[in-house]
Amino acid sequence: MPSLLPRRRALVTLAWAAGLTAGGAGGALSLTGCTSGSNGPAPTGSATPDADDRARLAAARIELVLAAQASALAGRPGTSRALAAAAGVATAAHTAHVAALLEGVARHLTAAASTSAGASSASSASSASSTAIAPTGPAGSAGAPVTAAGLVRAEDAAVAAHQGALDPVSGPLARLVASVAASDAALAAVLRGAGG
Amino acid sequence: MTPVEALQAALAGEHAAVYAYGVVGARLQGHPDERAAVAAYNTHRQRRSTLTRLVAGTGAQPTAAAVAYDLGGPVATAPAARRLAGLVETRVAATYADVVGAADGAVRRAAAGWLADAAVRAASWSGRPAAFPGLPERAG
Repeated sequence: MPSLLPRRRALVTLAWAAGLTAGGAGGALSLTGCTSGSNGPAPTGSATPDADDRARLAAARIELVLAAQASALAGRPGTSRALAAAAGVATAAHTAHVAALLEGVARHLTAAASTSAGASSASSASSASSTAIAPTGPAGSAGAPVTAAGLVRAEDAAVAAHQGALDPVSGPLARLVASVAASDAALAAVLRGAGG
Repeated sequence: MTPVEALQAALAGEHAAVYAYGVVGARLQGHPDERAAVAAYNTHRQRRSTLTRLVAGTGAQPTAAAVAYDLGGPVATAPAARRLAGLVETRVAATYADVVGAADGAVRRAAAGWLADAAVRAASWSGRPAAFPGLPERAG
C-alpha cells in the first residue's frame, strides 16, 4: 500500500495555504486570520473574501475533512483490500478537490498577504509558522475511528451541502462545485460497492 | 455560453446517449449489466424529454436528433459496450456541467443532480470515479 504520509502533508500544506485550521477532537474546522496567524481581526490590507471565496473555503473545508477521513480509513488496520483501495482513491480525489477549490482563493490571499507583509513582515513571518495545522481533525483525532459506513454518510452529506450551495455563486465556481459534488456521489457509490 | 446554448448542447448529448444506449443494451443482453443499461437508457430518454421541454420553454427550437451517431468503432463485445457506456456518461456529464455554469436557479440545481447521476453511472461502468466529472479541462 502506498504511504499515506505525503497525502497528509499535502493536505496540511493546502489547509495552511487557505488559513484553514483543523479544530478539536470533533474535527471541526475553523477559518482563522489568513496572514496574522491569530484569531484576531484580519490585518490591515487583507482583502475581504467575496461570496465566491467564502463558498470556495466552505466547500474546501468539507473536502478537507473527507480527505482526512478517507485517508484514515485507507490506513486503518483490518480494512479490506478493496475498501482500502477505494478509500485511497477517495483520498486522492478529495485532496484534488481541495486544491482546485483553493486555487482562486490562494491567489487572492497571496495578494493580500503581500500587501500586509510590507507593513508587518517580521511579525507575520513568525506568527505564520505557528498557524501550521497539526494533522489532526477527523483522521487523527482521538474521536471514534472512521468507518466505511461513516465515510459513505459523510460523502452523501457533502453532496447535499455542495449542491445546496450553488445558487449564490458565479457560473464558473458553480460548475466546479457541482463537479466536486458529482465526484463525491461517485465516490460514495464506489465505497458502498467496496463494503461501505 | 448562454443558458439556451448549454441546454441545447445537453439535449444533443441526450439524443446521442439514447442512441448509444440502444446499442449498449443490445450488446449487454443476457449479461449481468443488462439491467443497468436498460435503466440508464430510460433515464436518458426521460432527460431528453425534460431538456426538450426546457429548451422549448425558452422559445427556441429544440435540437433534433441525428439519424445516426459515430460510436467510435464497432461495439462487438460486452467490454466494448461498457466502455461506450462510460464514454457516453463522461460526455453528457460535461454538457450538464456547462448547464450548471450557464444557468441559475432551478435549472442549475437540476443540472447539478444530473451531473452527479452521470458521474455515478460513469464510475459504475469504468470502475473508477473521476475526480472532476464534467470538467474535461481537469481530466488526466
